[in-house]
Amino acid sequence: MPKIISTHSFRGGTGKSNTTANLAVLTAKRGLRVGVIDTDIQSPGIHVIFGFDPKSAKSSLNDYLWGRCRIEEAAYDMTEGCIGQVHTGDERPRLFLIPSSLRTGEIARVLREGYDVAKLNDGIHELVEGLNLDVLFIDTHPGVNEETLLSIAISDALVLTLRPDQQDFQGTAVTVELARRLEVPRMFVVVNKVPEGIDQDLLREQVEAAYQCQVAALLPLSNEMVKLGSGGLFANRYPDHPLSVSLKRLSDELMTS
Amino acid sequence: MTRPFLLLQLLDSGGTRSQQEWIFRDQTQVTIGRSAEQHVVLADPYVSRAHAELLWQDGHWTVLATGRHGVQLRGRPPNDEPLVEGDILQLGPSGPRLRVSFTPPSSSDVNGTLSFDEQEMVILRLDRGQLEEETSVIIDSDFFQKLQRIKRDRETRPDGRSGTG
Repeated sequence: MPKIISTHSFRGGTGKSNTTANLAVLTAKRGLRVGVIDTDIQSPGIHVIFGFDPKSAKSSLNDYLWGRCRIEEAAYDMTEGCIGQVHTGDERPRLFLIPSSLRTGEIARVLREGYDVAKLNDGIHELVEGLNLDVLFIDTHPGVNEETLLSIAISDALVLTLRPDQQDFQGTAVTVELARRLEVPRMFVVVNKVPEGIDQDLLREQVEAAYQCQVAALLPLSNEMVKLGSGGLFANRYPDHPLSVSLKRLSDELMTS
Repeated sequence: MTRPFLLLQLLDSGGTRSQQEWIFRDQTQVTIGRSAEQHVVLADPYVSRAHAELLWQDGHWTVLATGRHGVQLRGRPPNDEPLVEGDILQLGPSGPRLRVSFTPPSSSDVNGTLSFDEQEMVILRLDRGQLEEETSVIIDSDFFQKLQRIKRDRETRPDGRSGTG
């Protein structure tokens, strides 16, 4: 059974896209066909981490949503750059990216007109089927809007990223509650950018008590990650770094059902 | 009757760490504002010259907004309710936030002066009222109801499509 995994954060800047991109690569490296769809149409960004040049994109998620192409036509095989050489005939591992358009006109159109969320739902399922995916990661827009709620509703698992910060903490509680109402089978709370020297047990305790669910990972604030910015895949660059090890463990947990 | 004790912590922009703190013992009125004669002086454009007063009465503290920018306590203006441990006072709509505590910190013996919190301790507080309010607005929306239908469809239709395309 293919898995749909949404990643969400209540506010921007939590490291959600970086977490998603690295999880997707680590998951594909297990020998799986993995897709990543950027539904953050208003402020797309995950393609940068994969080193994808938007100029090379003939079609994007936006084109599909406006009925200008099939969704598979907006999928780009990122396997070679992100995982390494795979024989042409090999179906696995594979990594596909479905980017959102970076053209300001396209972004403005979405903001102005909105789009049919049911169409996104159909697209997601066509994608899983058409590309024969084992796992699809949906990188959502921060905050709660219609496409975020849809992504959460159709997911088998939800990864929630927050920083150890009061506003993230309060806001994420809303998503946790909504995901419960939408009966998302599994929730993974990731506290990211945890500064060194912080009382981690206390932090974990507070989050778990408030959300009534386990913290899947406390990820350290990493100088290397800060320096890398969004300029590459951390887990590829620093495979033995504690952050990569934690992400690998998280990917393991996501895949055990 | 217990003697008045008050610890105020100025929270950083993330709202988790104390940037500065003030301790008051045996004092029944504590004033907060921008002008130098206040007990707690906050140089912030969102803070009025005399912004708020904390008053000790009948064994508990209450907060009173004295400036025009107002105070938010648990998401609304205070209404004479007793403050409880950990309450956060938001000064003005987007001004600084002060955490209220009635427990003397064991390591500190300062009195009415500021000291810096060196403990790397994150304090996260969930405002359940605000959570409930925000969640219910979304849950009651037409879209959310529609989603729950899509979800049911997905469970009954093996291809997961919404059937509207």
